[in-house]
Amino acid sequence: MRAHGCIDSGSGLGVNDHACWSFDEPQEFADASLEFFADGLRTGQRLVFVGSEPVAEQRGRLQELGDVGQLIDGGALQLFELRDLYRPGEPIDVDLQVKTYTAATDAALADGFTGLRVAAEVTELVLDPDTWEAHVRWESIADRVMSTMPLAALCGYRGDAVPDSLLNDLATVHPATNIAADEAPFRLFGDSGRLVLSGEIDLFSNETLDRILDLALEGEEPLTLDLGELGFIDHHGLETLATHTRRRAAEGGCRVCNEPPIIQRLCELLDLKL
Amino acid sequence: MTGRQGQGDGFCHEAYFYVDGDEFLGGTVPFVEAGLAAGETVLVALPQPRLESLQGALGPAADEVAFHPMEEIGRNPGRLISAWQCILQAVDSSRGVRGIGEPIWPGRNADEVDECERHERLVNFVFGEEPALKVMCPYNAAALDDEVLAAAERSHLYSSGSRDAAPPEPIALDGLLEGPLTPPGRPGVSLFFGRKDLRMVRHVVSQCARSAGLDTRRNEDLVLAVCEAATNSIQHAGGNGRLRIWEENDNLVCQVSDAGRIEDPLVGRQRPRPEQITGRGLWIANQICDLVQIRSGDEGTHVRMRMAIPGVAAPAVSLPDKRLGA
Repeated sequence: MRAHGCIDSGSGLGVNDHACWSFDEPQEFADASLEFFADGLRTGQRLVFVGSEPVAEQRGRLQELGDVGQLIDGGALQLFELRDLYRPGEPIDVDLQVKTYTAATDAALADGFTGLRVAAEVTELVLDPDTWEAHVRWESIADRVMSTMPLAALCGYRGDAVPDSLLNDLATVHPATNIAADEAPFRLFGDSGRLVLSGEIDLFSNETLDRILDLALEGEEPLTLDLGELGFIDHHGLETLATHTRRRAAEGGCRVCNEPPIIQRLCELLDLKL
Repeated sequence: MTGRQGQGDGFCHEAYFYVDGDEFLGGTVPFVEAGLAAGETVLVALPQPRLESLQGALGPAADEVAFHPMEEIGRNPGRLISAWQCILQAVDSSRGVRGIGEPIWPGRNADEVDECERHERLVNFVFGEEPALKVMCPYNAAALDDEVLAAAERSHLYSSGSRDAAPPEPIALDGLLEGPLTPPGRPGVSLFFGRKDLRMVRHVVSQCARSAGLDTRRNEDLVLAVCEAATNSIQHAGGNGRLRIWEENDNLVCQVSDAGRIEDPLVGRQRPRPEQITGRGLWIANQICDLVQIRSGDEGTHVRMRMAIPGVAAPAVSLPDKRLGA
């Protein structure tokens, strides 16, 4: 299964892992990216850095990677300014972004790399509250796309520029994050064709669960929800889950698998079927 | 001496006092046979030795009776009303229903007996409108304390058997959430929790359960029960509460206290209806803990949840009841 839960370093992320990284100073994200990229160099993925600073400054921040110039010339490293790839302030064009990243991954493979590894500082895309919901949905969709190809991503968000509630939602739709479990106690992510729900859900996180399931369960293709990594859920959470799975089952099909003992227990007690 | 059976139509809740095995069967066998003869559904919940004794005495007729070991269905008296309600919903009530339930036997501790007495008083109110239900509650008058027997007289609509019973009084429903709890033992844990602390509460309970030797399933059950109770404190009692955990008499005890007030003495005792918003958490706790005690008043609310620690002799029916013979 893809790496999931809380991480405290950019190291150790595999070929299609996806992490949400909250930071305060730009060099903090650069340092995490360096750790992330070091693994990419070892495993032969093409590295892509997307930042809000000019490319020349990005080069400076990444100099510990080695001979940055040589990496760029050899196609092993690409640097982009955020505005070259996105239009901050406008809603994300999900289809275009999926096509872009898929094409970039295919191109990397065609060029002899083992895949694509992207570190992107994307705070500018979420400065406008009107973009939040679409952006969380985008991250969730992107995550599921990534789980099917050798595309890894480290998504950076400046903690002083956006509210904690948004950071926590973003952390929730990434399999891995450096945000503490007390703030973002559960995760919903793609793995092996399924949607995995991991972590713990109680009163504190139930409203987030309701919102995230709304965003993530859109669509009509049959879906499998894997609950095997769920460590705890109370009856409020179970009822929220049941509401969404039943609605989704009616719309396009939803199967639940790997129910842990606590789910079985609660379903039995409350005579509930997911 | 045989006991009077339920008379006429209408809900009937009778305490039947017996001093030995013969008298036990002398009251319960005719009660069961009368029900079967009238085409009623008959349910029996008894401690295992008495259950086997009645099964033997009924002979082939025992096949028509539904037997439930009281050590399971009534392990925590707080779950008994819900259990009876589930059973009643599943049977054809037009036929009439009668049941035998012996929730108190020698060897149950004072806290369990106290909860049984509260349960018996509530039975009259929950099932009082069930015209076709008759319930007989046997009590071992030779082995149980006089106070227990006197409480049984007060909590049943009438009594029969060999005890000289006082005339029945109207059943009082007040005070069912009152009464002291024994002081908490020396706490292994004592902490205050707020809205963001449920994860920490679960972690602490799980650690204590592991140290006490509860297996994974009972550990998870206790964590769920305590989390549900703590959630109630946060939602309904001002956003915070206090958790105490201690070991006592081979039990692991978790108590959640807060400044809120519960008014309904039936809280957590009835299976939640689909449209019901509140009360599910305590009902869940009642199903999965070995004993739940709820006390609420002006000074606040305490929910005390207990799990027996394994490796100890099963607390139910621990004393052989020699008077009942083999």
